[in-house]
Amino acid sequence: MNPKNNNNNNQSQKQAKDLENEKTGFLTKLGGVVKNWKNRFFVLNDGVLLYFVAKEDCTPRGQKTEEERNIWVDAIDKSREKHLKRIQVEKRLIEVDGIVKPEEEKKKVMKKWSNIVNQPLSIIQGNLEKLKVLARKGVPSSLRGKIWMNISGAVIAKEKKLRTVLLAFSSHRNDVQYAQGMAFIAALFLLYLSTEDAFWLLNHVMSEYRLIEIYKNNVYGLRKLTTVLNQLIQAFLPKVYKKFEEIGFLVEFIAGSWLPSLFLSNSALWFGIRFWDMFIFEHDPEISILSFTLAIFHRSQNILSKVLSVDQIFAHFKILRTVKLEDTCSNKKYYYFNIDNIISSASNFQKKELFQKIVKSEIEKFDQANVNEEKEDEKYLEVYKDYLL
Amino acid sequence: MNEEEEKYDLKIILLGSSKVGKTTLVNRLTQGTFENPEQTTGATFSKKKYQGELQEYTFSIWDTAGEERFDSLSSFYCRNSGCELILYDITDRNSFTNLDRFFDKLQYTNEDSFVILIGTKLDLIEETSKLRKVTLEEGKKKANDKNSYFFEISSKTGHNIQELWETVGDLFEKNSQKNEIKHRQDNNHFQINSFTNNQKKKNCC
Repeated sequence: MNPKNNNNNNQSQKQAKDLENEKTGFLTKLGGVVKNWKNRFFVLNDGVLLYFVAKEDCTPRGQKTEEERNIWVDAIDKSREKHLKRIQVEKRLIEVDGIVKPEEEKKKVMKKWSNIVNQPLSIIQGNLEKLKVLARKGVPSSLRGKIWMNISGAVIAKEKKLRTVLLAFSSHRNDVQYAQGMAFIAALFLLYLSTEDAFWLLNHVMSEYRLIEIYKNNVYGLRKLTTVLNQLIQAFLPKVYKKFEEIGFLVEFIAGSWLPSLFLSNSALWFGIRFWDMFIFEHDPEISILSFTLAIFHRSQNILSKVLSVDQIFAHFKILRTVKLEDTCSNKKYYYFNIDNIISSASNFQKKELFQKIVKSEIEKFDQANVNEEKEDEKYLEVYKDYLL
Repeated sequence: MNEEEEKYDLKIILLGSSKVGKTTLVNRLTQGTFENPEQTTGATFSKKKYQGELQEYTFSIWDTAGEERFDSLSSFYCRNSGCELILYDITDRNSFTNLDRFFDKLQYTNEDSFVILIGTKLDLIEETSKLRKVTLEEGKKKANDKNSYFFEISSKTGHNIQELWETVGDLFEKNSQKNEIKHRQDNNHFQINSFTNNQKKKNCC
């Protein structure tokens, strides 16, 4: 392969297609110091444009930053449109006879891959041969982890583990069986524990930390927690409470999506994990769940007391799903989701006498008002006891 | 425009048993993608713009958890919704026989709201119709009984998705034209005032 020959255009084009991720080709450039035209091999990869004296050369010359590269690529694209042979970029003339493929092509390849990633596993495996060919040209680095997990089948193994834990739990506690939300908790445990340990921990927190109450009997516990939470907001965040009443927002809307998974869904993982770090050390689960939830509202009270509609509250808390931990520390816009502040605010609430009083009395009130339901539940438990014996 | 200051013209709520494809439909509508989503806890909220005849509208879409034990919560989410999409999986008979519990929730919605019954996963029966457990006629009849519109869709192939979205938009526009006349008569002045007040408030805070 002789790079210095323009007739090789076709061949090098074909070659570049092979390396779809990387754009390569020959450009004739005018020397920076010595003003003569030289044929150079250009490589455009991951936002960096390099050129080499020869194709076999290993020392890159003229490394370009992304900004510089964009100027180059734009100039080359323009020259193509106008069928120019020679263009000037940053005081340098280059002659366009090679091929630096336009950005769009790179995007196309990315799109192809990201479509694949989003397919259900069965379809991915059905098209393995096609993918193999595509993969030989390199997997885009941003999707590499996901693709490797999917193709190797590690994803299935992981899901199987999760299913095992949940199945074991639901047959062990067949008074509740499986409820939506538990999967997130079990998955968190599996990040750090073996399958068996994850089961024991899940079983333990569900019964000893009374989390099971949240799901049992048509989410009785969840309804109880949100009712108490509502009273707490009225007492501690009166402005927010007033706003909620005014626009018809119910705390159930948002607490209903946080509490079944205890902050592990609809929020960033780092956020949920920090709650669990705290939660495991608490002896009264109601107190810790309620103080943490109240603290989230408390930290956002300036925004919440100014919103105009229910949807805006949702939009506000949706940020919590994607916000990065760093941003909540460094970017003023996201301070209200700073986890350290939320946790310290939660422990402040816990120390307050009024807080403890409201929680205690409201829980009692709720249980009394729903005493019939509670009994039904006990009946259920009786059956369950028999089953255990 | 700041996301938090946006106004929503129509609240759309998705109901249906778990695993019928509510979240998948939302993803198809809002992102144009098809993927295997996480399970939904409580409700999630997204938005999509609709280009009407005269102006652009923003619709909010509420996606709910389908598990029966969470039903007491989804009644809350239904409040003031203007459009309910009730979904069942055409390859899962149970999701169809269960539908009444979702129609029962409609008492929480607003009075001009419209309902669309949707059979999902149409792509699954393209290869073998054996998988179909609910016939097209049954679906149509159910929709007719419940005074609602009807579609069979596939979020995977995008089949009937555009048609569904346009129907939602058309029905919304028809409703709002009806209401506009009413509004103009008694509410117009008040609305303008309250709007400017809000603007001022925002600026000074």
